[in-house]
Amino acid sequence: MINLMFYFFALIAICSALYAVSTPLIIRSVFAMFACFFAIAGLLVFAQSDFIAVSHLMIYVGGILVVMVFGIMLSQGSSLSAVVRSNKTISLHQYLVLIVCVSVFLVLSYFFYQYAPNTSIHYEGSDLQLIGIALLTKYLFPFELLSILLLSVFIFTAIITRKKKELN
Amino acid sequence: MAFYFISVVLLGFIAVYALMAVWAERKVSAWIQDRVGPVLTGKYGLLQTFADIFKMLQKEDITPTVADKKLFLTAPILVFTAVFMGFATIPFSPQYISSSINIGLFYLLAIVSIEVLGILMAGWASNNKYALLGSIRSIAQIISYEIPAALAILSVVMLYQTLNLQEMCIQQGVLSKQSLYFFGFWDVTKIGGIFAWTIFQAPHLLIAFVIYFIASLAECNRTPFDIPEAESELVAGFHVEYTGFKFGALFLAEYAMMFLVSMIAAILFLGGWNTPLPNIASVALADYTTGTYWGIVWILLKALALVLMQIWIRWTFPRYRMDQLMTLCWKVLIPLSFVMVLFSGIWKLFILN
Repeated sequence: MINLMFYFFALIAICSALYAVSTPLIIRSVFAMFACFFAIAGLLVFAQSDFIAVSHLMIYVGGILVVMVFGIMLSQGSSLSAVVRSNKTISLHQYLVLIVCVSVFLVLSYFFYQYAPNTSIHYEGSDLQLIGIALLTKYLFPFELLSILLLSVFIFTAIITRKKKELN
Repeated sequence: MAFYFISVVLLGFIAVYALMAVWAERKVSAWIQDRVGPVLTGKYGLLQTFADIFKMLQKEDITPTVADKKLFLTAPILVFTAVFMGFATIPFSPQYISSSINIGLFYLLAIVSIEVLGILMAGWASNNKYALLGSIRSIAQIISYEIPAALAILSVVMLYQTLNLQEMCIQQGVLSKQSLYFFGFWDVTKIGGIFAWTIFQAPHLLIAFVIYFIASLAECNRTPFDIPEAESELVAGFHVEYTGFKFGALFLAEYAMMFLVSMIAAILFLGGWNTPLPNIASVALADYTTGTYWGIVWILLKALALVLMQIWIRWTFPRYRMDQLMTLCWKVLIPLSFVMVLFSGIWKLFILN
């Protein structure tokens, strides 16, 4: 049953990823990406990292995807048909991207078959207290560094959005 | 076993609850406005919403010709699924919880953001100006109000040092293994009842509860924060193009969301499945009324009382303007909730030690 669910999630992830790159409507590919992220969060639960899975949902779905949808909405016209990509011809750089992707996939699958532990899937759940203690002791410096980075992003976004007034 | 039981029973319960909540909404609004409300269908008009839903399900299922048909169909399913997923980590009694995971509360906060995406999908796929405006307003509002809600929750989490909702409930009643103090001075570990609830464990948590309640009103688009579906401005907001069953699903999701945020409020601040009755000397009311079936009764009563309060507020206050709404969130609630987090740290370090 649990193995079946694993393959189900994997299937959703692959299908939605393929749909996301092949659909001509950009907004649909963003929502297909949502399904893909969701399935990946499910796979992360199987990897016994439920904290990462929920963080993944929160950051990618709650943050990045919503920003992307807003970006598409605000940059394009209101009509749905305005957001259409042309994919009639395949140019050289698309072949290059294909080669890179396939080789990355082959390398990863080679390492997976070579080194992955052959254990059965079971769920335990992560100990949040250990994560918290590790963040505030061993990884305190990167943690603080990241928060300073995010704070500066926050401040500069406010500055960029305010600049228009002065220019006019 | 609890998983199957809760998932099946809860779906039925939410459907009936939503119908009754609509009825309650109409009755309460009628009483507030000095009318009588629905009276003809059934006793006290109790069957009115059942009749309404039968009429609605028979209606033609219209998809606008210019809409994005796939997304238009997916959006109501996504919105309702997201809300229903939230109930997975909600404890109903000491034994009944679908999934007692360590990250329960964190998961609930993530679930709300999925609902946001569903609303955005509905608004975009309708290809209607009112729907799109409504969904954009809704998202701006939900994302902003997630911050004070999360910080108010954080001030509770700091006190209990866990994100597991079941453990939080245990720490608010007679089953607690740690000692509990009423406002930090009176040991109520053996007394329990209303005195051991979160809001009475530290004085600032009462304010945190009010902050959470206001933010939760905004998260489920209720008045005074109902600008996403403001009838006088946007016709009906993001679900203006939906008819029949799809509209029913969106409507159900809205009422399920009200119930979900009320459940979270009840668990975090009002003792969850713990009884309000304290042990008085030899009359051990709290011990008698704590258990599986009592737990389900108490938590449902608390959550439904909060839903009733949301309805009451809807028919009492006028709607906020967009700028007033954002001012309230960013200039009042967020600084105040940061102060609550600070107080929680001080309380945990200096008062409880």
